Amino acid sequence: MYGSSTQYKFWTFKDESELNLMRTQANKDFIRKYGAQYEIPEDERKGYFLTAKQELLLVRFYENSLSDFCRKFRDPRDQRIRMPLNVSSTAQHYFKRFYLYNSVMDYHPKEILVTCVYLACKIEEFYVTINDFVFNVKGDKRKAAEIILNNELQLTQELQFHLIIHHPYRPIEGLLIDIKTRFPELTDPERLRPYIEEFVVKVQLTDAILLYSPSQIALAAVTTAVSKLQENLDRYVTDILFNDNPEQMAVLIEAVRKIKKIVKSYDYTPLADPLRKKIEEKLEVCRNQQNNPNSKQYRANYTEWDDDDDLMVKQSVDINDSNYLGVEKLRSPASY
Amino acid sequence: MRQKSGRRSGLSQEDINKRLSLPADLRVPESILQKHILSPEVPLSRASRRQSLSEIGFGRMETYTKLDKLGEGTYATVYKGKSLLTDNLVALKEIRLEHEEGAPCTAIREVSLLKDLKHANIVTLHDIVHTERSLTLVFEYLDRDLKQYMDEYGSQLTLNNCKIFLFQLLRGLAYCHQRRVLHRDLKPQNLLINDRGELKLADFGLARAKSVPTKTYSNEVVTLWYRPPDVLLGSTEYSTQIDMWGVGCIMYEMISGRPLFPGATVEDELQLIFRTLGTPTDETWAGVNSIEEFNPYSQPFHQGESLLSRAPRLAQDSAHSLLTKFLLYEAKNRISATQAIKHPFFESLGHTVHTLKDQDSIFSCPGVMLTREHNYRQSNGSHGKSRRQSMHF
Repeated sequence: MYGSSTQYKFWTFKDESELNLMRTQANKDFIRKYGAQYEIPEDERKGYFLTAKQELLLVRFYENSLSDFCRKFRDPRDQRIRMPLNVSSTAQHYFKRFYLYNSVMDYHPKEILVTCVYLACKIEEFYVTINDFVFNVKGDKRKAAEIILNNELQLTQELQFHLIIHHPYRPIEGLLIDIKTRFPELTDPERLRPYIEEFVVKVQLTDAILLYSPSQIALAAVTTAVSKLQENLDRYVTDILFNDNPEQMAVLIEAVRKIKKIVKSYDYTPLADPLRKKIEEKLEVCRNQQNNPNSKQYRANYTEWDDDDDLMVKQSVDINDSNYLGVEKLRSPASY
Repeated sequence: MRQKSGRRSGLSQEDINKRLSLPADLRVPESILQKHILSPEVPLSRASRRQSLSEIGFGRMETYTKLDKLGEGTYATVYKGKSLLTDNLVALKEIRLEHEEGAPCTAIREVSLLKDLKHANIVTLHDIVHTERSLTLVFEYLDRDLKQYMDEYGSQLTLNNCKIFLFQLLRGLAYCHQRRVLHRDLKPQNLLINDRGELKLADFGLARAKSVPTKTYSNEVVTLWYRPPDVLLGSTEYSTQIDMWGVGCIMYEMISGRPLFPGATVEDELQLIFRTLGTPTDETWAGVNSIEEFNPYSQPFHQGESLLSRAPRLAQDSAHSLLTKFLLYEAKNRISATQAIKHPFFESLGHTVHTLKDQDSIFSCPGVMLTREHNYRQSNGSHGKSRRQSMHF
């Protein structure tokens, strides 16, 4: 079913270099357009705008914030209700997809982050009203709601309305059931769960989800968990799972190897604060002011807000205020 | 694999359609093909993708002319329209965006599901136009829905036509269910039919990709007449089988010419079901007596009536045998769409109907064609004439 999905057809890419090429292109496009518009001389553009590398660092930082935001999310009507994992995984896909074609200088990742999560709630049928949603956002809630609702369709359009996301959760359940029935040598496969979950949380942050299928990621998660328990699944994979299809097995084993490599080489330490502040300060200057909710241009475009724009004007935003839009400092996933 | 080598040696039309996210069957103008063939290695930026699509005319309201208004729903108005790109008729579903919660869930869900569903028996979404105040979904246009078709042709459809419509309904549904998408709102009004007799599922606003089987969903979804008794009694455990009850109701309606359970309220609907099929017992529905909502219906006890005596045509071609497999009280016992397609009821359609590819029409199978309905109503003005003509095979 994944094979006929928009995820496979449009959002699964060849390799990391293809992703880098796209991100670099988005950065270049923005600089070309706004460098001309803001009349920045060619030789000053590099210092004035963010580089593709800086953009990626910031995107990585907010990917972490996104998973943190979702983990801490609570329904204000019932504090026991937490956000299901598939919502945060879906939001993570949206966020990554968005910044393949867009520059952070065009749309601030803080704003896209919450919009991605709000949209993911709708698609995954985790019903939450906008008011209950922004209850989880630190800072000016009303403003956050307006930003989210204003960005929602823009985001949907940038995602080409491809909103159904396939996750590794189901293939993982399938593998566990299969192992229980066809590979009794592995005692009590339920022991694998905490390690599988740990792997899935980690892999979500990496680009592996833009490169590999959910079932490949599922197998990588299960085999990683198995080796953590110092057990061996090789015979299951070679003799049972791919008994009649050695070619498919070779492809899959290669994919699993690469997924594990990506997860291993991913830097899970958060972006150091001084560096992040430096990038964000630069961003406040060079970003597209039309999409900056605190700019005059933005307000001019949304004149209907003028009636209640006290809250838009008075509050000058301290970009270093980590509470703005509820994005808090985060712990590294390793410390969960 | 083919794709990757293709990328190096220049782009095919197919590759370009992929780059631009176009339906594979749409022909892109030569000038735009050229542009992409010249620079196949450069990844497509957002701006240039937009520009190309826009040059073709996608995503712009000017590309479509509104003709008549076809209907109004709670969140959308549907117009008949025309695409200036292809000169084809289209249906324009215009969704108002004054919602406090942003874009309506149903709209977003419908769009995202349709983007992933490509099948001969599912309505095709051609384009999406997003303006400041509205979101317009551009669908292929089909002349009418099954309800209008049944109204037009009076009491009963020919058995052959019933089979062709039911088969297509089941094909579309099997495809959805394999992808864990439930329709949740099947009714004749949501089954669109074109001149050729092709039937397509529409209105996926309430459908969803079923991801976690144990999750509970809102239980106010199916129009009463086609709503299964478990849902009427408040069950929130939805599975693909909730759609199968409605299929049974639609099958009966096509064959007999009358709706099976035309209840006005939930109570009425349940009474009708129990009177007709018999009050459920723990044998026909395990655990029914422990459902609190069922208590008021347990007395008086109905024996049930024979559907065969209500609709004697059900005796033909094992129609009754298939119908009873849809109308089972316990959801998990209901026949699945994939199984139902193989039922002997469809034997007369031949074997090739089982080898169709997803996007092939049932009418590509030798020998499958609509038969002329017995008693179409003569009266209805000019529309009636052209419609009738199209049915003369």
